[in-house]
Amino acid sequence: MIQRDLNVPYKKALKASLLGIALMTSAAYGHERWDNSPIHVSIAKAPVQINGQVVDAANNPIAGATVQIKRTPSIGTSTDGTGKFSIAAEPDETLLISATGYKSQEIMLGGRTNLSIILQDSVAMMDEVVVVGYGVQKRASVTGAVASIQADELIKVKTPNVTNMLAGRLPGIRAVQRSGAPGDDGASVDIRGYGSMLVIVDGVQRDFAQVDPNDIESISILKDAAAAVYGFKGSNGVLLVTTKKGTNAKTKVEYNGYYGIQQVTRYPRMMNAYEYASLYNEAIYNANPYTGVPAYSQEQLDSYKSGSQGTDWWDAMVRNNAPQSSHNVSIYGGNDKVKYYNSVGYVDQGGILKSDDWNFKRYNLRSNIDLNVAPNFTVGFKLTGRLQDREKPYGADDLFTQAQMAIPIYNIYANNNPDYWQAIGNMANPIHSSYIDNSGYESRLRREFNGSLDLNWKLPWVSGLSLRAMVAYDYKNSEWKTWQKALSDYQYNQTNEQYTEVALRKKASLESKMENLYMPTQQYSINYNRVFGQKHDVSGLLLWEAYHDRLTDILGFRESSIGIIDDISKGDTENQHTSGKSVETAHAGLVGRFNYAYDRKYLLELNFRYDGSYKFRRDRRWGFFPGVSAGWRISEEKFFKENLSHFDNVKIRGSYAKVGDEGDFSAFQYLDGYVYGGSYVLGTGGLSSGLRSSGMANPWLTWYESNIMNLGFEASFKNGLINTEFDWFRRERSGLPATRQGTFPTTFGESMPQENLNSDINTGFEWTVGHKNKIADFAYNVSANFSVTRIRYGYVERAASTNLYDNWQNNNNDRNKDIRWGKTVLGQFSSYEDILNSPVQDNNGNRSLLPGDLKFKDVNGDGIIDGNDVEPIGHGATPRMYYGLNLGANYKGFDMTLFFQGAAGHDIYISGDILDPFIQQGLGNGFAFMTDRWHRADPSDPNSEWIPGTMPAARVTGQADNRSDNSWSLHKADYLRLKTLEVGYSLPKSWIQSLKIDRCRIYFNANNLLTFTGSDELLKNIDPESNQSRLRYYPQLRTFNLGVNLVL
Amino acid sequence: MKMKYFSPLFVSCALTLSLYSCNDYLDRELTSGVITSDLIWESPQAIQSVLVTMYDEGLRLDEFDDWFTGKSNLLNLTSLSDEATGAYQKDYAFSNANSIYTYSDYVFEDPFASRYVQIRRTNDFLKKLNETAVLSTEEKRVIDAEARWIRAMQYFGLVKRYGGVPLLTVPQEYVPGDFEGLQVPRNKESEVYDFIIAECKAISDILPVSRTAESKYRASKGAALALCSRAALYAGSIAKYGSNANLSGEAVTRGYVGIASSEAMRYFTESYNASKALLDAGTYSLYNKNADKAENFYELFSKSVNGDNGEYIFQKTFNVSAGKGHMWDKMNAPFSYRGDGWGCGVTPTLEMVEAFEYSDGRPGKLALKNTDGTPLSFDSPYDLFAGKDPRLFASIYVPGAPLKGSKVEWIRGVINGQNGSGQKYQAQNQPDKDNVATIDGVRYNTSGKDGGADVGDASKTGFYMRKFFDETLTDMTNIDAKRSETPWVVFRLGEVYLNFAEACVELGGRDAEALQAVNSIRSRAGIQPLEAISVAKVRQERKVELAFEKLRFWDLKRWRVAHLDESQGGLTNYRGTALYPWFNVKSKKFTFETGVPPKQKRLFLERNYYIRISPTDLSTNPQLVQNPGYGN
Repeated sequence: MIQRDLNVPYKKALKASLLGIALMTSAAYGHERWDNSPIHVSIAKAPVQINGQVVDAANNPIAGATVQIKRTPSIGTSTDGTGKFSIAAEPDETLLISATGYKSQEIMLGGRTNLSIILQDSVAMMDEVVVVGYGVQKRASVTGAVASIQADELIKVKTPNVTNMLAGRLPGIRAVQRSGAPGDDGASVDIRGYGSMLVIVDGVQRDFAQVDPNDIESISILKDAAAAVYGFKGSNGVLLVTTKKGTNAKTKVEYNGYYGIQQVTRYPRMMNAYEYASLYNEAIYNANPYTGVPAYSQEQLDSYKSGSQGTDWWDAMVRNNAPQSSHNVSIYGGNDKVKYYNSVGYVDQGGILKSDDWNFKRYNLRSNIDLNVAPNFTVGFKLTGRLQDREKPYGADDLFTQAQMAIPIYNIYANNNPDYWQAIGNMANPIHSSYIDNSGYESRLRREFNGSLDLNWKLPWVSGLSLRAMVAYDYKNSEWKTWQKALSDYQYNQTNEQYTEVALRKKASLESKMENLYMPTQQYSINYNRVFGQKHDVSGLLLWEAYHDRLTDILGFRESSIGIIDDISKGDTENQHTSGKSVETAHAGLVGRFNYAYDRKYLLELNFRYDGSYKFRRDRRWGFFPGVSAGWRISEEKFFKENLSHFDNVKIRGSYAKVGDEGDFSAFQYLDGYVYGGSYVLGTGGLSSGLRSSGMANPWLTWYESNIMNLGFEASFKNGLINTEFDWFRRERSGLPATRQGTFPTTFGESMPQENLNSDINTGFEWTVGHKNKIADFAYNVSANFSVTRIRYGYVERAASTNLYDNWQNNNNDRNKDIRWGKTVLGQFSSYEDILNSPVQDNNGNRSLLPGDLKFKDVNGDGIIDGNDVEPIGHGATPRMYYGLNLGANYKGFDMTLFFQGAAGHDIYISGDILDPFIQQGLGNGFAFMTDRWHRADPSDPNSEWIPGTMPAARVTGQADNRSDNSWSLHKADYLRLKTLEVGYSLPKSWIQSLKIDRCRIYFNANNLLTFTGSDELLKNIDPESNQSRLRYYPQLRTFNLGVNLVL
Repeated sequence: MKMKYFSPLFVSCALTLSLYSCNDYLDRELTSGVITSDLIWESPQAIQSVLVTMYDEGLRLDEFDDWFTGKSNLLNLTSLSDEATGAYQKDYAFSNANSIYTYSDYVFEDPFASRYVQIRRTNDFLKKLNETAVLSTEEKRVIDAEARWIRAMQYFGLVKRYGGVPLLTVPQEYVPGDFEGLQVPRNKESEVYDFIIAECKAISDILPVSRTAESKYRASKGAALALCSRAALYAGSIAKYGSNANLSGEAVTRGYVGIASSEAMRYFTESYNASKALLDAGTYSLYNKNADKAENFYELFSKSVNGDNGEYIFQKTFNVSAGKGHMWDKMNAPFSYRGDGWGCGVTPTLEMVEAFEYSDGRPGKLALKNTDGTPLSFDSPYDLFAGKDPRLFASIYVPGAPLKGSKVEWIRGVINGQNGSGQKYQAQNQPDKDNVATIDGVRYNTSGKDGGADVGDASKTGFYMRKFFDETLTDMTNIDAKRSETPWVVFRLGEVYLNFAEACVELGGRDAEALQAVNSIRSRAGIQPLEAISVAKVRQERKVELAFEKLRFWDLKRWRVAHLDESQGGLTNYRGTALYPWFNVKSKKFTFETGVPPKQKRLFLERNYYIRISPTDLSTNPQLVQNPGYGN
């Protein structure tokens, strides 16, 4: 065992290295094996080097397959990207080859040193297990709508936040990323448009966004009755994250890391000094055709044009390339007694500010250990520690507004003197305040500790019966600090040659907030799983779960006249204040599940949950949520097998469940009384605190119900050459919370409690199709998925309509959700005649209008455009359709992935005061697209002809109607994105073997490389996932990464 | 075999047991923050705490931080009257100078849903107070009267906006499913006023004349009489002048809005009686402690005496150190005296300045020009105002007015000449930006540090408000921090004198009493007494004495003049005029011009006398009838 002997010193060296705790934990468990293993001395024959390649039935190389020596499973290796492996073994050993998704195989060497091994995968794919609620199931026997993805697919999107890896990957998942801000760039994710879903990480309700993606084994989503076992919480679907575990193989050390740069995908340019000043002058003429006096002289315009004066604020604040990097080292392996997966991870995401003061860092530590302490008795420990550190300049979210507002004619410094930052008007100088040293900071430190202990006992007396107990304790601590420094910009006064201070904050202050969250969870269960007479496959689960959250936070605020030390104890006592809160929640439930399969053909699952929530009164607290699903594997039928043998799998399945939800209810609405609130000075005694009625109680409030239906079809042809899956779904909810505030006479004077009143309906479908093949050395795969969701209101509690118009506009009963209302724009006014002959829309005889202004449709034909002329003009900003297209190929050591993702059926508003030529009615700069506007041939000559443009004619304060909600400002944001392009090369085994490296793959990766958004000119400047009508947000990012995956 | 089933059975039993105990596990009521009613009504301290919130949230006071449609739009009762106009650009009435600002149907909207919550709480409080056993009968009697005063204030707040509203005096009981039983029609406008007057009269005999120091800002007998004095006067004017505005429709015929003119004298008499009782009792007196008349009048409203001036009958007091302040100073500080932005909010117009007479009794029109039409020159802009009513200097910062050791500077620009002739260099920017003119090699600032240009946030009229401004406040940082604690005046004896005078002149035959009342005000102000009295003179005195106290707008409404053209004393076509001081480089003197600020002209429609009842209020109650001129 030369190989192992060499390994020992190497590992010892590693142990001493910086890897720290993760490695030490692993070493502690690994020790037993190294020191006590009898194999070491029992080797008689000299081992020889065995080389081989593992491929699938289609002759595609299988990367990452485990190759072990059967007699000594601790000795093993894995295949590289080309499926090749090399292992030292005695000539008469038996090798055990296994890979996820394939049938394991044993190979007797019999003296052979060069092997070609084919693993059967098609049936194996059906044998693959999928994580479902409180357990796993074979894919073949799944009867619910469950989608899952393995980690290696997921992590091709290089971003620290897991939510951004999901879009287009899992049919049914809807994900939109609204911002690229470091640490706050998570996508908003839901399943089938159901609302915020339940997320379970390793069996416990937890956040998943910041789990190190490298530690994830798989992600599953339960979209239908399969979620009913989660009771109250399962009605919006469930997302299950499973982290990696150790395997019965020799210890491996794996490194995954990349370094990359981030760039803004799209963001519109602001006007430069010359454009600004010329347009400003023009705007003055437009508003005052005969009397206007230009604000900027020709001399000034010339200096702006030459660039000798003025600043591109965006460019001065934002860098082109922001770095990001990610590193993860894991050590995993195991034997019959112990299996372990330990890792440390580090992510560093830089922000796009040139100051480099907006950053996110994350440190992860994970240790998943499974022990066989006795026959039939296993103990699992999972410990996770995480530290998230986000820091940004104080008021950083306003920087994008400030850069929009900053007038480009100013220089960065007053009088070009670097001691004095130029004042730019009503907001801070963005360059000045983009530095923490100048403006202070907003920091957020989040520490999370998750621990769980899992005991599993297979009862020796009853075959197939086991008991399990799991307790988990999660602790989260968040620390926010907001340190505002005093901040002043300056104006240079040319008359007295002095600098005038423009104070934005005269005094420093610190707000410090500490939040602690404790979440103990307990689960006790009985599992039964047995096959009778080879045809009757029976399994059952009965589980009791209880969990309880306790959140406390406390906030302190102090001003600091001195303003140097950012510590709460060093501030002024005057104006100090504190606040805080304490919240507790508790839930419990009894879960049951029964599965029966006859001859692997007829599948049935019954499940239920009896669930209780602290939110409701004792007698309304418990709910019973049953689900049923069934499947028929037609491909297992004799007639099918005989006639259509090319089909590996054809299955029809259906499900129905009744689940509840309590998510939208506020707790304790059954209590009648008073709460703290209000204060008044009654006399010399100072301020007295008051009490206010908590409003009317509703003792009957209880969970609302969802009826979830799903019909599915899946088929797989010729060992997966083509496979497809289709799901149709419908969810009907009733008893949704609403108040009768709209039906009680308002003079009744009581704020109404929520009641179970409203209903809604989601319907849609998902479709995936895949194909894979291999032609000589060239293997490729294609898979596409498509999902559509439509959401309708059912009953909506509201006051009786006062008239037909009110009914049309406001009565949402039986109407699609997600409708935008606004004025329909017929076009732009082409001339003064056009303006005068059109309905009055400015409340002033159209006198304030100019050619190029928006011309609205007079919906009710009364000659006046007002609030009664709005009609449906489009949709909301959440897409109704999602699709993904994944193309993969490999050739010898090269591999390539192209992943396209897109969405459709949504509109984004670009409106509000950014549609003023000068943002905020003349206060700020404007977007460069404003220069393509209607204008007079000679702006100063009121008689010159009008030249058309895209935008309306400029006025300093804009034109109110152009800012209103209208169809012209609403843009169809359908998009297709090349989300990921990855090209990798796995170094041939022969090169790296001598370095004792199992696998070494280097890759180049790009995310959000290309975005296509149709012909909308304005949208070419704006990311289609933006939802910020005023574009004051941290833009979405494109990244380029260079990475390496190394396994020792 | 037995053993085989033992374990699952055992676990099942354990599970069943824990299910029962689980209800306790799920009980987290102690963390809900709700204190049940029974605990409240057993504790006098808790009962007082409920009353505290009724004062805080249940009383509708048109006070410092009340802005319609958000504070950045600068719409409040002062800027919407003819006293002032908003300064910043974000103000609705800004710019688009050729368009018109229509008094929005919604601007005063105060939906029933939010007001009746407070009324219900008051009614509920009165009901439960009656049932509690922890207070003595006498204690209950006084607290009951106090809550009824709050309720009368609540109805007064509604009736002056909507006209008649449903009068509910006990909390309605909801019988599940029976919504119709809860749908009550409006009461007549006169019935609501009658209710307020009757309540005030009844409780004025119960409420204490004076209160102990710990309770001195709570309602007293005086507060009840002052409310009666004001409410009855409003009702009287509506009865007398209602026909000046042409309103019609169901709400009029049913008496929901408008009061029969025959009732006018009765209401004026009620007002007269209440005012007289207050004046005769001598509990309160006009504040007159500082020999400097201007400073005396300023002090009356300032933080320095904190409302303890003998003149305030009811006030809302603040306590910044305990966390209750307001933002008046932050919102209204003159440009160079601001802290961290904001400021300059509501700025008086030249019309308001000229409403102040000269202290010798001459009309207040400012003399800007010689008889030959050439501008008059002044060494300082402040000199223009010499001899004006001291209350002008107490209420308004005119250009050149002293403030915090410096002067308020508002200059339109510089003139390369003298006596107003020569090339003009006008301020083009906000004062903190470039405003420079170079004349003969010398650089001049074309703007004052507190304004001059039409753009930016500074005053566009040349004036700022002084009344209520806290000149001692140094820290105005951070817009959200409420650092001001000048008390808000709700009722003061000065107003009662004027209510009294108005009731006298409206009743007729009481001119001597009226004259005496008005002259009490004028002599305290330091201005020549009147020799004769008239309705117009009383109204003129009200305008200057009560400026910015948020009473003017209601006055214009109840006199039914608001819809008239500005030349007839109304709000229609009113824009407000600016006064522009120019610095003449050659003579080193100031000359003046009047100007048109970049504000919209206003349009007050007759229907605006009563605000629109919101669609939600109507749709939930078919019994309600919309006010005249509005659709549903």
